[in-house]
Amino acid sequence: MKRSWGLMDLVTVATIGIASGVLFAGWNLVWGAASPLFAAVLPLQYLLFAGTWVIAGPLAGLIVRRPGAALAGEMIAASVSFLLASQWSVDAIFSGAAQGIGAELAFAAVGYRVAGWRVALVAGALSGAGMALHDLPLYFPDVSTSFAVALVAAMVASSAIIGGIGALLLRAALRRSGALDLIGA
Amino acid sequence: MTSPFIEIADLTWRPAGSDRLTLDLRGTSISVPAGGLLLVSGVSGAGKSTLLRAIAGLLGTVLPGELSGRLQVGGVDLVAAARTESGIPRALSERLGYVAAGPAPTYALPLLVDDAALPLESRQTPADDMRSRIERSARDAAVDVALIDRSLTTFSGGERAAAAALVALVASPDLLVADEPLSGLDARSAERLATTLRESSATRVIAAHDLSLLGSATAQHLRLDGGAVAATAAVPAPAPDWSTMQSAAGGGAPILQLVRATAAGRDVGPSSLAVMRGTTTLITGDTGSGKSTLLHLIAGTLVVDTGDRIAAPNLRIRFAPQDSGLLLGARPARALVTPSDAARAELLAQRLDVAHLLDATPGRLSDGERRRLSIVVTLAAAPDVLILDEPSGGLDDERVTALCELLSDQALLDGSAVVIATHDPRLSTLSRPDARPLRRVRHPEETGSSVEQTEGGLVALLPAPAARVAESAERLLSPELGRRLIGTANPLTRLGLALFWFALSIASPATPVAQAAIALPVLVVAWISGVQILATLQLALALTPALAGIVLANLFGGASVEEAVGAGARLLAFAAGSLVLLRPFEPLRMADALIEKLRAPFAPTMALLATAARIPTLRDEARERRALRRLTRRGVDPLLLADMFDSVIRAVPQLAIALEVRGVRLPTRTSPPTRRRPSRFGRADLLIVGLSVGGLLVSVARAVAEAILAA
Repeated sequence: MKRSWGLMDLVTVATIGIASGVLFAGWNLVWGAASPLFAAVLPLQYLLFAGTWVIAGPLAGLIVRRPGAALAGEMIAASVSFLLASQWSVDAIFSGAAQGIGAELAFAAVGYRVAGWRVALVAGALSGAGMALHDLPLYFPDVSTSFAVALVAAMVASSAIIGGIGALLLRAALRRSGALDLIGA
Repeated sequence: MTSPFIEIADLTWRPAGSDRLTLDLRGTSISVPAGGLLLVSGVSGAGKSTLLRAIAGLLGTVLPGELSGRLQVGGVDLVAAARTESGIPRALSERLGYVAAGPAPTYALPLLVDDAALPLESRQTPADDMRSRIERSARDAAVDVALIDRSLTTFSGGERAAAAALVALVASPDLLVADEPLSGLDARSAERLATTLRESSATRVIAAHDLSLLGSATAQHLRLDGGAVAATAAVPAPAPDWSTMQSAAGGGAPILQLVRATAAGRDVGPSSLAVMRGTTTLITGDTGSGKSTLLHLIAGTLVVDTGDRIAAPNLRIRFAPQDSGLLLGARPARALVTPSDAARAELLAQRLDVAHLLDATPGRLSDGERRRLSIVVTLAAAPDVLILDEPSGGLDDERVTALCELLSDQALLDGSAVVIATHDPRLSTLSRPDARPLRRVRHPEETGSSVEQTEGGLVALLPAPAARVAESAERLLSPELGRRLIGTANPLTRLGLALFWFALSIASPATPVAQAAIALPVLVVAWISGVQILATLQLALALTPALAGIVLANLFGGASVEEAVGAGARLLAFAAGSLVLLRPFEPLRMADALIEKLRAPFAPTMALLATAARIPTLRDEARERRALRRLTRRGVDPLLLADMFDSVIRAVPQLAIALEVRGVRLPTRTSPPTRRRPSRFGRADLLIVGLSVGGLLVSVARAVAEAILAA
C-alpha cells in the first residue's frame, strides 16, 4: 500500500467528516430537546445518544487506512457541527479532538493494517474515553464518584456500540453498494 | 527523429473490486507524436473514458486498480507510477489539461472564475494575468464571458461542458485529454470549441461519438469495442444535418400545459408549452437556454413560481434526467421498477441491450450504460408523460437508432406524450414516416419570451403595504450597509473571536445577567461582521428546543429558577459564537486565509474547503433525487444514513480528479501559490476586536463590582 496521502484520501476524509458533521449538528438539537426527559438519569441519555457523536473517527479510520485519518475525520465533523449549530460552540472542536485522538490510537496500535470489528469496537470505546476525559472536568466538576463512574461507563459503552460497530455496519453497507470500490477502500 | 509523446503497448486496466478488465489493449500499440491528435471512438461502455484516464495519469494513482503493459506519456512511465505514486506524476501534472466526461459536475470550485484560476494558481501564474487568460480561454471554449463570474451550480449541462473545456485550456497545456468535450453543446458552440481543439498545438487525445467536427488530415483514429481495439483507422461518418429534421403536426388533446411558467431561483424566462397524448415533442435550443428547467417544470419536480401548470388528474409522469445517476442512485435498476412492470422492463432492457445490467450496481457502469438503464426504468412504467433530458448523450449511433425506434414505437408508447430536450441531430430519425407525430419546439423563442427579472425573496410574498415595511426592515437589518462601510471581517478574526467568547462564557458565572452580557455584544459584533439576520434567526429558532431542554433539565434536576435560566443563557452565549460569527459560511475565504496567513499546505486545505463548498450542491442534488424518486413512487429508503453516505462518497472520485487535474498538488511550501483573492485584515477586523475587548472590560468591571459588594 502506498504510504503517502493522495487527493482521493484527502477528499474522502473531508467528505466523511462533513457528512458526519451535518449529522452531528442535527443530533445536537435532538440531544438538547431530549434533555428534560433524562434530567434525573443523565447517564442513560449518554448511553442512548452519545455514541453518535464519535462515529466519524472510526468511520474515517476504517475507510481510509492512513495515519491521521480518524483524527482528521472526527475533527472535521466536529468543526462542521460547530459551524452549523452547536450549543457547545467552539468546544465542539475540542471534544472532537479528544474523541478523534481516542479513535486514532486504536488504528495506530495495529499499524493501520487491520480494520475489522475488533479495531472498530476499540476505536469506538477509546473515542468514548476521550469524550469522558474532556467532558468530566469541564461540565461535571463536582459530581459524586459513583455518578462519574456511571457517566464514563455510559460514554464508553455507547461510543463502542453506536460509534464503533455503527461505523462498521455503515462501511459494510457502502461496500455492498460498490461506493467504496470507486475510492479504493 | 524525436521520440513520440505518447506510447501505448499491451495496456490493460482492472479496476479495484472488479474481476474483469475494462480496458484490454493487448496486442495493440499506439504512438502519438508531440503535437499530434488521437481521436478515440467506440460504443458506449467500450473503455474510451478508461483509456483517456490512463493517458492523463489517473489510473492506479488517483483511481484504484491494476495497470499493466506499457504507457509512456511525455517521458513519464505511467505504469511504474501507478504502483508508487498517489497522484499524477509531477512532470506530467504540470503539462496536463483534462476534460472529464459530463453530465455529472466536473468542477472543483463553485464559481467558474475560481475554478479556472485554480490551475493557474497551481502553476504560479501572476495574479494580474489570470483574468485575461481566463477570458481568452472563454472565447476559445465558446463560454460567454458574462458567465465567468457566475456559479457553476446554475449552469446548464451544455454550459458546464464548455466551462470544463475552458478550465482545461486555461493553463496552455502541452497535453490535452478531453472526454466527450462537445457533448451537450449547441451546434454553434460545438463548432467553435472543435475549431480550438483542431488548431491547438498541444498533443491531443479526444474521445467523441461524433468525430465529424474533430477530424483532420493528420489525426489518428482509434475505435474501441468492449475494452479492446476494433479498428485503428476509419472515416468518421458525417452527422445528419439539422435541416433534415422534420416537423409534424401534433395529435390529441393536451394533457399537460405550462402557461408562462417560471421556476423560483432559475434565471429563465417564462415558458409556455402544451403536451399532447401520442405526440413526441422535441425541444431544442441554445446551450443554457433553460431546456432542463422547462422539463423540470413539466415534470413538476420544480415548483412553478409565476404562471401556471395545468395537468390532467392522476397523470403518470416519468423523468429521466440528464445526469442518470440522480435517478438510479446506488441501487440496481431493477429495484426502481414496480414488480408489475418487471416484464416490460426486461423487454425494454433487451431492446436497449442492457438486460444483463438490470441487477448491476449503477456506480460500476459507464455513463452510456447508466443512461440506457434510466430510460428503461422510466419507460417501464408506461407513463402518460415521458420526459427525457438529452437521452442520447454518450450513446453511439447504433444505440441511438435503437432508442429512436423505441421512442417512435406506436405500440409501446401508444397513449404517452413524449417530451425530449436534445442537442443531438441524430434524434432526427424519430421523424421516420411510420413514426408518431413529431413536433419540434425551439426554446425559448417558441415557448416563452426573454428573461424578465422579478423581485425575489421575502418581499415578493407579501401584500403591497406590508411589503414596503418589510423591504425597509430588510434593508435596515441587512449586512450590506455595514459591509459597504467597513467591509467584511476576515474569517480568521471571526474564528478567533468565537474562541474568545467561549472562554469568556466558561469563565463567567452561569447567571442570566453575566451570560447575557456576553451574548448581546456577540450579536452586535455578528451584525457588523456581515451576518444575515434572517438566516441567523432561523437557526436560533432551530436551537429553541435545545434551549428549552437545558432550562427544563436543570429545573427537573432540582436547580433554582435563576440557575436554570442562567444555564440557558450560557447555552445562548455559547451558541451565539457558533451561530453567527462564522456566517456567512465562506469556505473559500477561509481557505485563502489559512493558506496565506497560517501557511497551511495548499492541497489538503483546498481539498477540505472544496469539499465544504460542495455542501449546497449536494443538498440540491439530494432534493432533486428525492423529487425524481417521488415520481417513481419508490422514494423511501430503508437505510437513510447509508444512502446519504453513499451519495456523498460517490461524489468523491469526481472531486478528487477535478482537484488533481487542476494541479493542486503542484505547489510546495517553498513555492506557495499566487492567490487570486488576497486575504487581508481591515477596518472590520479592528472594529469587531475592539467591540469584543469592550465586552471583556464590561464583564471584568461587573465581576469587580460584585466582589466589592460582597465584601
